[in-house]
Amino acid sequence: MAEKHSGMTLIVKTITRFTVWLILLYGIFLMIHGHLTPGGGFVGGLVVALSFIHMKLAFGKKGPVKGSGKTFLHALDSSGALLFLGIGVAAFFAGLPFLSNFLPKGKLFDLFSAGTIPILNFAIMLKVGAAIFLVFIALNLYEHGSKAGNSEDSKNEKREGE
Amino acid sequence: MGLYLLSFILFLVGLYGVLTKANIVKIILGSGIMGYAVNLFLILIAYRSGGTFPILLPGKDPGLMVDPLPQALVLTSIVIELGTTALLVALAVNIHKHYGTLNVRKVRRLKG
Amino acid sequence: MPVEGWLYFIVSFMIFASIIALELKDLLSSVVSVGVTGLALAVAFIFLQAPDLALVQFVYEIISVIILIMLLKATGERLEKEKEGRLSLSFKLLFLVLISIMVIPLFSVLPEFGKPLLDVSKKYLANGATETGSANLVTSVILDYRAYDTLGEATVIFVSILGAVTLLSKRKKHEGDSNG
Repeated sequence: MAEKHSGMTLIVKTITRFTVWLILLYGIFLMIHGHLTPGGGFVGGLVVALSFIHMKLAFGKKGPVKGSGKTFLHALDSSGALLFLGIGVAAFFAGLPFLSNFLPKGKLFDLFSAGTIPILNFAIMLKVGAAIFLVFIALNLYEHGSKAGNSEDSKNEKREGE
Repeated sequence: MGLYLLSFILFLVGLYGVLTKANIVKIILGSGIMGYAVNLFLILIAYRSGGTFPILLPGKDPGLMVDPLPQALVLTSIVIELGTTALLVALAVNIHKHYGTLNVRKVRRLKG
Repeated sequence: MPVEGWLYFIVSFMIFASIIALELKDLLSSVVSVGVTGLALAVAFIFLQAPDLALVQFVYEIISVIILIMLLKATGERLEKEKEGRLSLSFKLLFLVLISIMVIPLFSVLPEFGKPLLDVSKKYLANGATETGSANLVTSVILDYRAYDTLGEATVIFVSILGAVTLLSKRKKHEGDSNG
């Protein structure tokens, strides 16, 4: 009985297979064009996290892609923070103060312009996206884990209580 | 000045929710409403009559633009509120697990 | 209709929806009402010429409603059952009236709506595109002129999400002594 009711109905699952790629692409587009159009790292990270939440909500436990463990998300979060700090310290080697814009500026309205701004956008997207998806997974595992008693907290093999 | 007063009334509604309600979900909703009121007030300060959004487009002369500095502050503030709400929700779930109720007036024991 | 007329309508709608959200007995309906308030705020940001903020407010509202509904699902509560005494309620309302009497005369110092002070932003608006090389001036303020504040904000998100995940993880002993 627990096998048939994983996730939502068949209609939602079929549509999700198409829309989740569009949402992911939109999030990455918002992040890359952060210095040309409205957007930036914050919105890009939130929309990418929303695409993963969308897939997990529609499919439940038995999804087509195995859900990420908590360790991988913690690693993504920390690497985003380290990249931000690394760019800040790298400005010391150019002789400028902390967190200066030391790469060449390029031409206005180009995609590869504006110095360190696209790299910082990428770091913020990693950090915010991983953090929000981690909160969602922690709440999800909490609710399922409290029904099953004292099982190990892992990403699969959790039988639904009674 | 009428718009500033209306946003302050929205802040008072959120404050009423935090002060008087006993259910913890209503307290979380009240703090969210206070956050909306403060962000709205900051952006109302930055508006300029006849101005346009502060983004340069190719081949168009910008003319008057609105203030970009409060917009940057509010962008940061909205994302920080997301982390705060997540922490409050985790606290509420733990209170329910230990005491069996969501009423903050019954949460009296300091240990355990 | 000019911009001010639309803004009066939207902010009055937000006040109305938030009063309803706090007074309903069904918890799921109040969460949905706060969601409607947030979406109205996103529309107000569009009228105030801030497209970055409208995007962020929209997505934040959706994620906040999802997290609150998961809270309701994890605890199993559906109705508000608590009542409030008459005397303490009147004290708190008196306190709110006192706050509004003290703060409202301060609003006459603010500049008129539509004429901001713009002391620092003149420099950002004039030199932003040539000094940083980005066409989006709000991004140039967050990531070049004020990058240190963005580092502080990344730290706040890191610590708060770490705290939330630690509170929601499984402990070895269910009751008894509290951890550190």
